[in-house]
Amino acid sequence: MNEAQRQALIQIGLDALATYLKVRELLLQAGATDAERQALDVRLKLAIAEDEAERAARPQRPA
Amino acid sequence: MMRLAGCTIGLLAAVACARNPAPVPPSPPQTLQAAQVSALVVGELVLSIRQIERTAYRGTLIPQATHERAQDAILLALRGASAYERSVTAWTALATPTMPEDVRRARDALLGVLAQIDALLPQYPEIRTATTAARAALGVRP
Repeated sequence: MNEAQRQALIQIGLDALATYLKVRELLLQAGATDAERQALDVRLKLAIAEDEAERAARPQRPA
Repeated sequence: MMRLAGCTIGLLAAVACARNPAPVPPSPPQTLQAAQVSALVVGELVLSIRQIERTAYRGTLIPQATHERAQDAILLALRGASAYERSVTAWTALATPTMPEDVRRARDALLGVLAQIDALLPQYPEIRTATTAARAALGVRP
């Protein structure tokens, strides 16, 4: 990947983030706050469980 | 409608900081409604940071040792975002106008972890953008 491609990917990521947050704003305006937060909490817990499992499966390294 | 206006302001601040370092109020979200939105936005951003790091690692852009340290920090951030969300939920149940100390502590802990992530992965502007947006959602000026 060259620098121009990397920058293009970064820009796509930034645009996606802005769009995503705009969508969130619209969802909030639609009154989805509590349901969204509950769904987010579940996703956070799933991510935590997955990362803890990966961490536990890491090979032991000498200190 | 007033509640939604507060939510909108929080989100717009996060987007503004992600794309343009415009001034953002340097104080924590002062109202319950603002804190609820803050918890939602920060949680989503921490999940985004996790996804970006994992994608970069799988693309062999991040060495194994750095990935493991970053994964440890991101795990702390996930736990921090969850704790912040729980503290805001508890505030919701209390329905007091002033921010409880638990919310402030959870916010400060999360800010500390975001700084750790920035320090571990300084060469990734995508991650810096997300951590900056998360700080903005927590009321910190970039």
